[in-house]
Amino acid sequence: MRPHQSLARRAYSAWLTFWFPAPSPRGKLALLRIGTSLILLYVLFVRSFDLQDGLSRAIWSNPVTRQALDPIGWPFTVFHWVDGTWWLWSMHVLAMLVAGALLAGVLTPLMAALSLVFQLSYAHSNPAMLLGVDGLLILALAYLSLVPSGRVLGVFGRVEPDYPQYPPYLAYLQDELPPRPEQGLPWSSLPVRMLQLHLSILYLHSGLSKLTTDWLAGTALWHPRLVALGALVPLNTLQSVPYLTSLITYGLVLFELFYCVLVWVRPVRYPMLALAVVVHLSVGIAWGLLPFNLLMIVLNLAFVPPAHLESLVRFIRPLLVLPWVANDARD
Amino acid sequence: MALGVSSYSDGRRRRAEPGPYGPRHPLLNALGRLEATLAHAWPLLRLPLTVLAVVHLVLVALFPGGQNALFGLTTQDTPTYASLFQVPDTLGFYTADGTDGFLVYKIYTQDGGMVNGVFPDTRVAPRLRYDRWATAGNAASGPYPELQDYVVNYVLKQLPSPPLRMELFAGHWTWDRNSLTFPWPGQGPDTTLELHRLGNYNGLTRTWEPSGKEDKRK
Repeated sequence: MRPHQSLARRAYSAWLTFWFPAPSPRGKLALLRIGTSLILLYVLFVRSFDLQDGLSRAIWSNPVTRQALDPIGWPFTVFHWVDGTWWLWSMHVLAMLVAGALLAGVLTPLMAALSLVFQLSYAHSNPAMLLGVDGLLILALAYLSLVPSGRVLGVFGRVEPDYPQYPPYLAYLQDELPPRPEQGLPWSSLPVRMLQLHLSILYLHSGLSKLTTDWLAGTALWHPRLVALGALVPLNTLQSVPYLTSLITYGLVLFELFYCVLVWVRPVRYPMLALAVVVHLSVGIAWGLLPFNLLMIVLNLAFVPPAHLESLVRFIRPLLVLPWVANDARD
Repeated sequence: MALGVSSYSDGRRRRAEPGPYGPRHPLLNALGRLEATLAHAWPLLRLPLTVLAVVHLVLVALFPGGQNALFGLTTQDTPTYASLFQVPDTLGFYTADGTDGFLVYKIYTQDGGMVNGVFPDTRVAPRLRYDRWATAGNAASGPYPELQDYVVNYVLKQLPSPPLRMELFAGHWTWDRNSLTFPWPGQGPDTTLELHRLGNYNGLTRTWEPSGKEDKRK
């Protein structure tokens, strides 16, 4: 920053620096892509067991009621384009293939956008079958579709020119645009910044929504749904210590309320992220909501400094067995 | 003689534009040219992009489209922001008042027997998470007579023979919050179960007759 710059000019520079921080978070985008697509594949796989009852035309709800449950102007779904079991399964398998391509790092903006279309289609086909993880996947895929994320840890990522490791017949599909002197795309950090802000809003909304009787009384762990079904730990043992359940309940509310501020404070960022991992693992195991909470942990990677994640990527790459899984030559 | 460049060879050059590792797909070439154009215009694009991002995030905060599925906020007043994040808010059903809803049906068969059942029945697809079924149950037992008519037809299709009569009730399981305020070992939550008659299916006329007046059993 030069001292003779006007205040407006400095504010403008600071504004742009906030939204487009350097360096480009290619490793971060790759890890977000891999984590999101793995959970997406799991959700699609689990949905396969109930595809007919959940999505076919002959399910237990009619279009008028589904419209009443889903009161938006344009409840788009590709499953209204097809009829019959074969076509339903074809669409579902196509959605899984697209998710697999996203995991592999093939044309990632396109695959993320297609996965987003499929996820919205599942959501609007039968709104009564939605879970929290579905909404969170839609959020993650929307940001992943804005920028290439397959240039690191992707099967068609950039490799050294004299060391071509990708499969030769598929080279024309590589997720790569003409080489540029800059480090990555100039806008690649914008979706990550938006995701960070979106996550902060998400936690704040979650904390505010917990300011209800159950949570303020410290008795949320006593919800009969947790007692009867879905819990992976013996909640009865935990409930025999009321002070502990109250402590956990209040701690969870406080964490969600203050996460949106504290995670932006650099000295306490890593403690907050560590707390987020502990909270989400605990809640995931105790509530039986592992996919949702694992995805929250993946999305929390957005707050880890890019240089640290690049180091992680360099550590991961030699561990991968596929020889053509490439890293960027400039790393 | 000047050598003319044929349109064929022009086309060949465009299609076979070399990438760093050989010929590239024409679509990728077009994307590359688009990226180059955007990169040149980048200084002008930065500020409008950030303004769009701010507008989007403000809308997300005010009308949490994606989060409505998580936190039970309504989408009734947000049709204008039917953005990518807009998903149905049916998950808000059970969080609204802390009750679980489901359908109860009684089927009177032709041989004089009677069969009880609930919908959704978690035993039908035990691999599914209970929450999915609970959400479906809250939707099915809600104020949607057309849905209940549809459910009756769905259940009837599963039967080997048409019944004489079928009664449908909405079950609402409410748990007592007061008993939870002072929990101690051995003291479980007191719950209440309410059944509201929704209507009858007449097997003789094969018609669904919704219940007009309140019929509540505790």
